[in-house]
Amino acid sequence: MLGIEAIAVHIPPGRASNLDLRDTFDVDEAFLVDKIGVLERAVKAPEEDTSDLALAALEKLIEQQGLARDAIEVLVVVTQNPDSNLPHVSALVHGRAGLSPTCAAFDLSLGCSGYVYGLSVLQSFLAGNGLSRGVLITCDPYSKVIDPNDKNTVLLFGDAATATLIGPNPIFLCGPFTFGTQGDLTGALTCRKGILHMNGREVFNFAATVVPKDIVRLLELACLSKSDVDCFIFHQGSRYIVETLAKRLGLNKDGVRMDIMYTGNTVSSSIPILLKRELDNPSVRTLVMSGFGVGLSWSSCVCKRIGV
Amino acid sequence: MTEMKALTEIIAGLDLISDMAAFDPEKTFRDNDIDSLDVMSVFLAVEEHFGIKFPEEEALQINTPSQLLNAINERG
Repeated sequence: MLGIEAIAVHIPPGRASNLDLRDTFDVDEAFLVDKIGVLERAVKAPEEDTSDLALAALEKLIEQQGLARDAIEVLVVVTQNPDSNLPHVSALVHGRAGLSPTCAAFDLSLGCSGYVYGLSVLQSFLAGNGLSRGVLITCDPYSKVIDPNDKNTVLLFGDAATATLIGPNPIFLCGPFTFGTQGDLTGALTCRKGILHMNGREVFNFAATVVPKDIVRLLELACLSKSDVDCFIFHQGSRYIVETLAKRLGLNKDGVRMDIMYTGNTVSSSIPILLKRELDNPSVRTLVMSGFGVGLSWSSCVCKRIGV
Repeated sequence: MTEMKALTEIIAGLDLISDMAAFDPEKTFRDNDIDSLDVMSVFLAVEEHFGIKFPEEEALQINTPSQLLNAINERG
């Protein structure tokens, strides 16, 4: 059975302080901490591009796992902010990492739902083609498209990349999955002329109404109740949205992971950043994760620890 | 016709305000200790309760609970 063997995280060292923006946007520290949940945002260096961050995460995974480069049979990069339109970021990373010429490489154009989607796509691709090992990279540095004068977005988003190894000796098996789309025709979350635009209320309404229903649907599909789940990892849109989801689902706060205080919302990387911590936490045997955002798109899945 | 009492109960049910006794529908949401994110919860609760939808342009013009009540009643 294929599943998650390891995760590596690369968070660029640069930081931008939200405290410095208090006067500009008329917010106080309590609002930043208790509501947005972000004091500092991780920001890539100006000369760095998406493939640089993605490569750093991959190299960290290779080093951490002692992984042979020719053992990677598939490389998938989830991003909507590539270095350029052509070629795809996965091809750039493939070339720079010196992966095998028989390694498949492709990008997935998804935002905050991308990690969960990507897990399903990569697992299915491997299984369907008789392959055994692939890497899923998430890397969507929104600092490339943020308007520094836009309060709706500048206080929220941070840059990061993650690399997840899917293989035959997993710690977590993933599935079942749920997916959904609510085609965004009103421009709730768009990037026009290189600038991100977000209608916060539309995105909030979408997440607050759609995600709880999707979690209920997933639990029914998996024949689980909420009490069977040791931990929930929601996409870290903001502290407010995560707490809203927990409230609307009637979840115990202790079982809902939350941490974007010193990174910001890292888009498709927010779930694997938190999931990495659970790989070595044997008390978490069953977890649920859910990504949601641009599209509007969502995907959720159950992960079960092997051997328990 | 929806009364302010009904709207106040919806807002109180969200558990956003520490002192509902000080709630004044004529004051802005912010002066009622309801920040910009909590306002989204108020609007969502109202939309779900009454089965209505406020377009963004209209929502941006609503700054007090009293204005919100008027907007609810304008929808019959």
